[in-house]
Amino acid sequence: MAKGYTLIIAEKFDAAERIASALSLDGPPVKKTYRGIPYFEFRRNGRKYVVAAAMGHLYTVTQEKGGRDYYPVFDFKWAPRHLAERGAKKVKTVIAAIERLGRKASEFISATDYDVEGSLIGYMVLKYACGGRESQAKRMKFSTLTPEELNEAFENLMPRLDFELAEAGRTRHEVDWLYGVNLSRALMLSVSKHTSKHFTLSIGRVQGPTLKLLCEREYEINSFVPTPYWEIKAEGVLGRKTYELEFEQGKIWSEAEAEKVVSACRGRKASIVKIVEREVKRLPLEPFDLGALQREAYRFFNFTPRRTLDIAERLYLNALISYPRTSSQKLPPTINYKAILEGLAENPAYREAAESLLAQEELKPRQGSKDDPAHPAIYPTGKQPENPLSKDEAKIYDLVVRRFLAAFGKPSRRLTVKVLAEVDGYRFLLTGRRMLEEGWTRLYKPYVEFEEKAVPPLKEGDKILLRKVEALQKFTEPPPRYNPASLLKAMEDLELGTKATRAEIIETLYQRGYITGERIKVTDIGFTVMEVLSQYCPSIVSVELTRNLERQLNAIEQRAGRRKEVLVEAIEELKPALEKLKEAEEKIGGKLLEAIESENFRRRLVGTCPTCGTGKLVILKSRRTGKRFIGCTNFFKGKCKQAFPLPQKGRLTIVDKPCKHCGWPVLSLKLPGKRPFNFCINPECPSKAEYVKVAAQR
Amino acid sequence: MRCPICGREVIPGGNFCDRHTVAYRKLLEGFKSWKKALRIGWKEYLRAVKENPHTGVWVKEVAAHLAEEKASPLKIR
Repeated sequence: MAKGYTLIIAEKFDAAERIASALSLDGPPVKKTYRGIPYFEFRRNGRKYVVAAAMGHLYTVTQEKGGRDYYPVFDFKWAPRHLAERGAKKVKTVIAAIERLGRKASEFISATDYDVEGSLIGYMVLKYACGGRESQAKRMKFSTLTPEELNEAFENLMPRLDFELAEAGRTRHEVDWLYGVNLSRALMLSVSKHTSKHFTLSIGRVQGPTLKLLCEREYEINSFVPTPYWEIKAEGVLGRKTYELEFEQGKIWSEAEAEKVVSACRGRKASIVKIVEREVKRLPLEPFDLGALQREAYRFFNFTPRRTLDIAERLYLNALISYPRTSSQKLPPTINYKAILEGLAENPAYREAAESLLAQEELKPRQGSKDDPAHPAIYPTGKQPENPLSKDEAKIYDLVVRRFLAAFGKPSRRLTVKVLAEVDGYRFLLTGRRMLEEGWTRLYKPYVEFEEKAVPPLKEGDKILLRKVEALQKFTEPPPRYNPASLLKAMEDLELGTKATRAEIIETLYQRGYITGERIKVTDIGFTVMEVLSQYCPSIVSVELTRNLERQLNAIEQRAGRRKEVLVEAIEELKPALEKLKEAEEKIGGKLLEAIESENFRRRLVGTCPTCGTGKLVILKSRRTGKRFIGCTNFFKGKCKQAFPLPQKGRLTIVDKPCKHCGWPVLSLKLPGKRPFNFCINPECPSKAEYVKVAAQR
Repeated sequence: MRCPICGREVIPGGNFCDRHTVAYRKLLEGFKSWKKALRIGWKEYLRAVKENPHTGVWVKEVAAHLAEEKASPLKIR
């Protein structure tokens, strides 16, 4: 074995600590620091090992030379992040620490997460910080940070780095940089032609088509005309019992026709003409891939995809669950089902379920169709938490555990009954459902619900009196707005972005002010950015183009594509688009600025002035004192002097719903580190009287 | 020319901006279904659509504009 020590590169500090603890055979690892950056030393079979953490990406793509005030830019290089980005000062020290540790090392191992991003992180660190050791480094591949798996990965090191994954990651970053920098500059520089103020606008390779998706939905909603229709509901009586029946035909599109049905059936006896009983078998739900976990966490806990990913990563770093950035829905036997279930059985909350599964003759989980060559589906490791979990962590952990348990459950069996009653040629339906065998649903509770509906004891030929028949007028509704979870699903279905980037792209759209609200609404700026891009360079926002690029990037992972070809194609696509944007710069800038100003006004618009009734209440800043307050726009016309004071600290947003006590507008105040606080702007609001009373009583 | 509803640029040969033109077309299409469903006239239709909570914002704006203008559907291009 070579002299010196082996340097192991981990992706994050927590992972470095776990790796050091798991691999250290000759006593516990020693934590050391270099200029405040921690690393670990340990011995294994007499050899010295050092584990350093990379703190995520330490290197990034940046412009080769020149300023930020022009485009197109196609020359780029990889550089330490602190040289390319503001607020990345710590990166400099981390790189210095790894450089220092690398100098004395004779062997290198990349132990970053085994996926595109992780492989790239390891590759870049070995190439730049360790002086070009990427070709001699070995690779550790693992899906959980449990000591058993880490030791197994260490004993079975891959002889070389996963260059294909790193190359795919590198190309993805470069293509994204080319798109992001050029298109964002085109937008921002066009606005700067009209104003000296700076506005941050951005658009990227995946951001564009995602915004387009949202704009298309917004168009549908904003231009939706509801159509009236009628539903026939009947109340049937048989013996002493009453039942609700539905009209078999469903919607009726004319009032006259609906009335005809009502008058033909009301008070008549309907004959039971058919009874259909069906047993429905439902297999367990597929094990969690990242997208499914994010959707389920949104559904039950209202967590955004980003929040879920962050929590899942913390659970992974605590060795409680497997690597969450996976698109697999498969649980291979190699993860050792029995050991995991035995581990879970130590927790009283899962004991009964885990033991019932362990008592089964065979442990065979439900496997989904999606696969990921790097990692299995998300599963619990069976380890007990070393420290108490936070509320949010406990929720996600419970969801992952129960989904895992459910995957081993038997299919559930339900009985559905459909009773068909006929009168005068009109048919009505009476339905019921009953659970015959809970199967896996018992293990997935409370994340699965089943509502039983009593099945009436009827037989063919029975007569049921339709005591009450009525036509209910309803209207068709627009398609629902996307929420972060359904948008994530749409992106997944359209192959926009990767499992690792989708949540971040959604967050960026919020941060740029292109979209707002939990039920996502596109703002004026979002619309205008999309209209500009659709008009001048439609291919850039095309879902098809992005999907093709995504496939080419995936091909690099499979050694079926080349970085250079993908980059050339991206530049060829960008060039004409940027030329068109440049030609129309003046016009585009005007449009964007108009949208920015209107959006800024909308954000400050509180509502109609309750005093004069014609002016608008707007959040303003006093020129004299610099303090913010609410004033009426009619003040400038000399018609209204209404004004309201405002808290001077914190972020204020206008709440959509008016005050439930007085109907005046409500604002939400968010102070750093505190929960948002809603308050009515009306100083005489009864809600405040209540507050004063409670305060006085205290 | 500017859109009489929102002040944005009017589409070539049209009366409204792109957004309100789409909404206007949908409003005209919708009238056919409403006539069949409820046997109502244009003015009554505009009022009903304006008050319906499911109607899109742009359609509501067009309906309000047309009601104000007292325009029949045929007079609008």
